Amino acid sequence: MGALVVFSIAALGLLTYRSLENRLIDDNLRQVQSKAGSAATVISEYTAYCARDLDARVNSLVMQDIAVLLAEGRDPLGSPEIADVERSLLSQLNSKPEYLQFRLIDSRGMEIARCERVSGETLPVITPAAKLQDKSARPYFQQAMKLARGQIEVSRIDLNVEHGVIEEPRVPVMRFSAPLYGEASSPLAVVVINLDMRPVLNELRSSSPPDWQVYLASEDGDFLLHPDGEREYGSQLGAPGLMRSEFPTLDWQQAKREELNLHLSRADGEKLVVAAHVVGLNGGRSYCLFYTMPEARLLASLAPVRRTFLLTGLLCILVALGAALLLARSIARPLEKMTLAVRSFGNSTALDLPLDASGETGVLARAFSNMLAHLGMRTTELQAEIRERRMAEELAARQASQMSRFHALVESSNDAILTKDLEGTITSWNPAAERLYGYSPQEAIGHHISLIVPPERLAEVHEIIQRVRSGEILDSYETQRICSDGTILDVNLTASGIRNAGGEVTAVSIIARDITERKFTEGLFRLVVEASPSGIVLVDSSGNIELANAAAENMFAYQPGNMRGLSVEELIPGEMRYGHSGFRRAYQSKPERRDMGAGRDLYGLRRDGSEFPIEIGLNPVRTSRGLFILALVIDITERKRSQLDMAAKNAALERSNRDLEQFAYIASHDLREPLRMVSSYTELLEERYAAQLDDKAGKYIHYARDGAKRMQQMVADLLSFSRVTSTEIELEPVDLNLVLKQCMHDLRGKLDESGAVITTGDLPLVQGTENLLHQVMQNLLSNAIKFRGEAVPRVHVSAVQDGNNWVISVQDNGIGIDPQYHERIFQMFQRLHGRDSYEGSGIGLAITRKIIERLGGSIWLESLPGQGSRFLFKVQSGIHKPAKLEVEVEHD
Amino acid sequence: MIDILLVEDNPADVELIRECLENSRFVASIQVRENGGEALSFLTGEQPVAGAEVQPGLIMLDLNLPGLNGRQVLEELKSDVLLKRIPVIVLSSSDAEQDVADSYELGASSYIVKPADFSGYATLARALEDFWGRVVKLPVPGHEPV
Repeated sequence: MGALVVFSIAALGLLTYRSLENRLIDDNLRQVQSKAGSAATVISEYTAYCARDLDARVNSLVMQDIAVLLAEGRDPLGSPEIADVERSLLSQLNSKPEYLQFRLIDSRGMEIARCERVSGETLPVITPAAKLQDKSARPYFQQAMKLARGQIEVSRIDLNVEHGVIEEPRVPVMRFSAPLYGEASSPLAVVVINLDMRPVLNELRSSSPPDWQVYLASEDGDFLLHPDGEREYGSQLGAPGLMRSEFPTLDWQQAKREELNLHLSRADGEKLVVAAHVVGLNGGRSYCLFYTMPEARLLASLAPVRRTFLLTGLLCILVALGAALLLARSIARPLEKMTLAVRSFGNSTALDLPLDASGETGVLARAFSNMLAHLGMRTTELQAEIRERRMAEELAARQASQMSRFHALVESSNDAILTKDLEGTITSWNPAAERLYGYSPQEAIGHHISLIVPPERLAEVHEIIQRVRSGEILDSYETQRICSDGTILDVNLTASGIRNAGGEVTAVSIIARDITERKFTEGLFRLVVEASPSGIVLVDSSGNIELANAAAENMFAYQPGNMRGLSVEELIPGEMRYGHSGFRRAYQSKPERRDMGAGRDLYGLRRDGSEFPIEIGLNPVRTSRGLFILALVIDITERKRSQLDMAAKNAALERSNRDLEQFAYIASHDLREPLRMVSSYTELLEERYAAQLDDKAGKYIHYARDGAKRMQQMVADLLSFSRVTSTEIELEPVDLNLVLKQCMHDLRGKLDESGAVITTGDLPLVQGTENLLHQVMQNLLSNAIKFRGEAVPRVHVSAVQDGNNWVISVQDNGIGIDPQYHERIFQMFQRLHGRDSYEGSGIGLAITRKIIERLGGSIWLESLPGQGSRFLFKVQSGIHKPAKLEVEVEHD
Repeated sequence: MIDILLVEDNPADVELIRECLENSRFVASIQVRENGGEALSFLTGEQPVAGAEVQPGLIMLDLNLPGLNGRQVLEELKSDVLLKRIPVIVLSSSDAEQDVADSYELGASSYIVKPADFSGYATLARALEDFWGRVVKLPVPGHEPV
């Protein structure tokens, strides 16, 4: 009987204990389970942001400019577009400490722009062109090249690789890559972000519940997180499948959609409790996050419960044993009932204990009930305590991690960041603030902000604090600040409030950026633009005027500032206006520096409706806000007027020249008739009536005849002179060798008489007519012989090629000509010598020059008195080399 | 001996030509007409005047004439089946190549630039006598072609 009672009580106790144990383990697991769930969310959030950001980068204007550049097949390296991209990527890296690399890789797999955070360095840098790598073999590049527009490839989490080698110290990364299409139908490049996974992995590691071990495993069986760091990234480090070998029974692939929550044995045989959660990340990859604890340790936490339970149980046994002896039979039934009740104790339903049973059984039941109530209370208290402690730990860890990230962000920022209290006392001061203002944190913190505010701007401080206090965030507040060395800086401030837990603004944070250089450049730019005498009009991509300088406003008769915002079409008159937007779009699709409306007359429309002729040069200007067109406008009213004047004057001059030639021809022709009569009849008079006239009359008649003869000669010369231009000629290649031969034949009388010797080199073919060139050579040769000195005349004719022309030289050893007469000798009827010394009317060289000019050439001479003369004339070559032949020669 | 018809409007020129040719042995007579119209009437017998019964053996024609100019007269002469065989010497003050070429084109037998002085006329007279009086065989007036 006693044994029965002891057995019953022991069985009852064991059952109760088991139920308690189960419930405790379950509760504990559920907590860790939910912890795993929230940790999984942290990872997904961390990576999802990066995917969205990458998408935004791909669609940014700088990337689209690159797409245009690549589509046109230009070399990106060294281009201004790449420099823009690099700057943009660098500022992205600057503001996002979790990004390790930001890259642009062309369609062949070569990096063309890369910014990275080099380990050990605080600030990210632009990688120089020489260090760009070939990434064509890397899976994230190959996958991204296969993607459609807007899709993103997300790599597995693995260790960063540079130049094909795993980077040390090891950096776990995730690469987000997206194709860059632009207007093209296939990807032109790939944009890649390397996301540093250390922050999130470290947080997982440090935030795991006490006594629990955290693991992160990939689908292919690698550990990404393991208590033993050496077992991580097995595939990459040459030891794949570590997951399977360590946890042979954990097949989470099957349980992908369910929460894993189980007991299992590790390969070394230790029994473990496991809480797992499957993390699905962008790009379809899943990871298993799980926490383990040896079952033994979990049960150890139940020791106090067990102790209480055993003590109470023992007490019961003693009491029951005594009662049992007396009431063995009467308690058999209630005991049965109690056994049933206790078995269901773990299910937390109300216990059906026979509390009202009479006698010992009732006492036992009540004692038992008290004991259970006591136990339940202790258990609940214990659980609550565990929960509270976990929550506090988690909160502290999260806050610490956030604080450290925030701190790192502030410390590494390129912008000066400082905080001040509502009185204006500086409370924090980052390194960039030190660089900007020249005060160290020790010098600044605790001082009033007026330390860096110019005296005349002190009122601003109060205003900023008031506005921030009222909840406003001040953005792009441009003002001036003063540095420790007294320099005045132009700065751009962002001011916002820092709130306490109650939401009340208790301090102000200020982010300051130095814009002194930008202000100066802006000022300089404005001065240059305004000083330009040409009109300058900057037009945005939709045709609105963004900027117009004073010259442009003046030209188009607008008040200062009134052209801004106008549609550029408003400056174009009448019918041209309607086609203009089409031209503008065409230009935007093929922007290049060129003149507008090649060959057409362009007109501008003033505000008062009048039109004026203009010339426009177009220049594309790429900005962060898209393509602008810079138009340089020149008012050509004056130029047009003088061109018209010039054309009219030219026409008049031509007419006058023609009239003069006509006049010379007609005059000389018609003058011959009466002259012939004067000459003939004075001769007849002399011949027939000489006998009847005295000597004086004979002399007079002689003078009259002589004058008439000379006039006849001059008229004849004048006629030949005017014939040079009045006759139609057709230029053809003429062999000067033949011309010279003919001349020598014609001059043989003079040659024989003077004993002159004419020598010649090989002469070329030149453009002209045989007749005109004959006259030229004849004139020059007869002059050379005529104006001879004492010596026997020697004349040498030679030729030298000058590009497409020939220079022909006629050199003599005659009397020479003083340089002061070198021009005069080419004028008509100008003689340097008396008629007695050298005969001739002085027309020869005038005609010669006229002929050479008619042939498109020029004539001049080199001569000094007593040293002979050298007449040179330049005429076009008679052989035109075909252009094609020259090209072939070049190829040789 | 040849009968010459001189078509020339300038009396000073007529005088000079008469001076140098009248004494020449090959000239039988010189008829002068002052313009083309008169010359053609004379030759076609429409306006019979003194001496018109004799057809000239040689015509000396100035180019610069009032009314019909020398060129037109030459054209008329050469288009007339009877008159075209009479040799025409153009006697002009122009030495323009175009005038020379045109005259020969129209059928002139010779083109002579009027000499600039009287000695030139004397030389011309000798040359005409040598060529037209001795060298050339001219058709006999009255022997019409059948």
